[in-house]
Amino acid sequence: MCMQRFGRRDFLKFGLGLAGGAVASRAAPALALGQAPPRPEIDFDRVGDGNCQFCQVRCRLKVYVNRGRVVHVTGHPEDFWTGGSMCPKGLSLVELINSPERVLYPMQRVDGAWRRISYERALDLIVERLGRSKQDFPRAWGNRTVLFSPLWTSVECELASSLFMRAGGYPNILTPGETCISSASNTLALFLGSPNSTTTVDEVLNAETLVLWGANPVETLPPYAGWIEKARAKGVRVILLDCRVTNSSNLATRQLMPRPGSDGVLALGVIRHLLTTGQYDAGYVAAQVTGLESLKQAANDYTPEAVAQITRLAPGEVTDLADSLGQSRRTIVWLGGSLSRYTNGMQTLRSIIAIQGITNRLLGPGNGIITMEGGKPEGLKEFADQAVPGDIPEPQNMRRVQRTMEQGGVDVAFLNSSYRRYPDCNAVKAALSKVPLVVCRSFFMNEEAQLAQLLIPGAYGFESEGSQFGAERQVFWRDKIVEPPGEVVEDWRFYRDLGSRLAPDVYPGFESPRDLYRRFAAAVPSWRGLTLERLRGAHSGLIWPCQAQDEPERRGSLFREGRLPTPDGKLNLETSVLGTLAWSEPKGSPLAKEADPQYPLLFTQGKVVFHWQQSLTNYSRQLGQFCQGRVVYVHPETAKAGGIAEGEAVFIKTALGQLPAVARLTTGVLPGTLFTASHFSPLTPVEQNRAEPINTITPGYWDRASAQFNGFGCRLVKAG
Amino acid sequence: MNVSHKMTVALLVLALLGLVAASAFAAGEGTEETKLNVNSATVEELAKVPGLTPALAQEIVKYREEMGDIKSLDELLQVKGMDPGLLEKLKDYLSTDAVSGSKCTC
Repeated sequence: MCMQRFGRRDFLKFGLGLAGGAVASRAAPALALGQAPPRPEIDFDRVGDGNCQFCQVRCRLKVYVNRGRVVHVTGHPEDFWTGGSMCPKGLSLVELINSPERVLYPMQRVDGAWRRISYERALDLIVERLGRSKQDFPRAWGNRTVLFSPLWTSVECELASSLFMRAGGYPNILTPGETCISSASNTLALFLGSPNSTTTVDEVLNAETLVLWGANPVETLPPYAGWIEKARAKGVRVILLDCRVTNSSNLATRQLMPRPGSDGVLALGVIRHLLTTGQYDAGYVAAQVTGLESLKQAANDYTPEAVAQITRLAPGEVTDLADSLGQSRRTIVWLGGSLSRYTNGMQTLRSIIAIQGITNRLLGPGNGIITMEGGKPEGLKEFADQAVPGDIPEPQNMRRVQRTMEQGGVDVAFLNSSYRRYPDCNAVKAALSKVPLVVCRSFFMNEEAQLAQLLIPGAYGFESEGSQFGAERQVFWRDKIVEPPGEVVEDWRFYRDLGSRLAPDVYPGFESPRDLYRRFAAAVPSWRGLTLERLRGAHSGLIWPCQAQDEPERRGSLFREGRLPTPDGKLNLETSVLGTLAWSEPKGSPLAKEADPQYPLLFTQGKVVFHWQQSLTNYSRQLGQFCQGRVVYVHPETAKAGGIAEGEAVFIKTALGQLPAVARLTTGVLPGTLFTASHFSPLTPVEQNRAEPINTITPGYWDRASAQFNGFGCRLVKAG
Repeated sequence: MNVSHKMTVALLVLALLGLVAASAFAAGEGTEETKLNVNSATVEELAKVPGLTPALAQEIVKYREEMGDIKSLDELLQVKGMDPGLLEKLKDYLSTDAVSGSKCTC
């Protein structure tokens, strides 16, 4: 079998890569996941407390500095959530922050060529164009400026940009959520009254059963592998439901492999079995759950045999899973981001929530639902609305904004993140190319810079102070560790300066992130207990919400009153918002009735441990060591049927186009499916990380809340 | 059966279908709770709404799937085949319970 795995040898390789880099004067020892960081053998003159800016774990880091340069990072030994561990992506920050390819000065494209421009001049140009847009369209300027938001490096960056957009009267902030797991956050909010995980990750130690449903935390959130290891050591049964064998498989007591897009059927099959065998909490359901009859009706057809036919599991596997959940006294379900990446995701998630509901496993210790990319601490919009009062138009989703751009209806776009995150990204690129002024915020001359007229280089988290939060809603404070180089500008400063110029009478003047944070925490009740002083003393952060300074931190269940924060405190399984509970094939599925027979294989894509999204980590040569360009993983039987051999050059073809790849044969993916990594960039100087974006061939399918990236039809053909 | 007889039967069937559809929605007229959610209804459900043909119901679902949830019924004017007069009548039968738009941790 040949899947992306990593072990001690890989970390040694990474450590050697670091030793050979430009910054480390003596070799830093390689770190493995979950290990406490050793004292680094490097030259440094001070150490700061920082955090990783990649995944939602937001590992606290020790950042070693020598003569004003970051020379090394380790996990922070006092970070409760990570135990001091971190992953290769975080380690690459040392290389990325010192990269020779990094853009250090504002740039303007003139006659197709980039030339340096002062920061002040760049601000003037932007404000002038914004003013012209309002002048030309005095009754409808709001939708003519849009902002594509990134994973902000601090709460203050997000606040400063939100305030700018409100001050300008611009409602359209396109968050990564629409391409991430907004399906999960919306479904959780709808049924449980909160878009967040219902409990904190440490509660897995109190569970009897942990279900990793479509989740691969060992690879996508590596420092959290330690929690699963500890749970296993305590005797927690870990059930993995994933269509691939992944690094998380190593930690599972048992893995079932339903075929891509069929998790909703499996959930309905489990519900039917629980209901027909009486393995549910009838008393709790009678008192706290509504819609049982419609749930029975929805699940009625999904006998073990029917479920087996669709999921390709054995009927016994379906009933075993249901019996395990029915008999488990404390169960946590960890929802993987993959569930949101199918157009049937919201109904699938609804069914999984129903399982936890009818078994009474939503409340109390060792119970609940975890989603690492779910909701976030609330209150930011509340503050922006207070700080810049007044009505602005209803915000539009990405699909509407894209259509407006295509029709020439957008004058200014702030491109703070990759357009390649969207399905059918060439269509998004074409739409953006019709915007007269695209302002790119980037670290490198990447694909987004190609679409821009102005590039204002961004700062890394280590180069700015600010507050930040992680997946547990834990909020922490970070002091500035090093000065930004050249004329690099932090996001909070850029949007503050723009807002102050555009609307000086409206935009709240603030001096620094700490000034803004203090105003924010004082104004929003759910943040009042999270004072700056309190945060500075908490290396693991403090969990939001916290209303008062003397309020103790409360880990564990989000539902502190022992009831759901829905209007009536109940789990209402019927809702007109989603309509009838029913499963359907994902859009474009080769198994749907109207499927195109040209594309018979099921497509899946995802993250790998050595890379983040489509942009930053592709510029790391150290991470490039673990990459060999685009590889597609396919089952030997499927490869044989197509006459494809191990290591052969192939094309992945979809209804949108084709991409070259190298075929790797593995039983770690199911027959009839394929998997490829999603991170590549076509413009990176690192050859191993270079490939055309996967979303050039991902059709533009969306559900009610977010985009689909998996489960549609494709085929593999020999490149020759 | 001659042609006129066939037409009479067809008209009777259509009239009966209309009565069934109208009665199915009689309770929904004017009350928000019983109106049909245009964002979650199937083509078949929409086609039963007085004034909506199966073809127009299909166009509504197509529009919804392309653009995302409909926040205001007036947006239905963007749907191919919709006219202002029909839309005003549809407002008695349709609602727009949209997904709230909660964001992920980003």
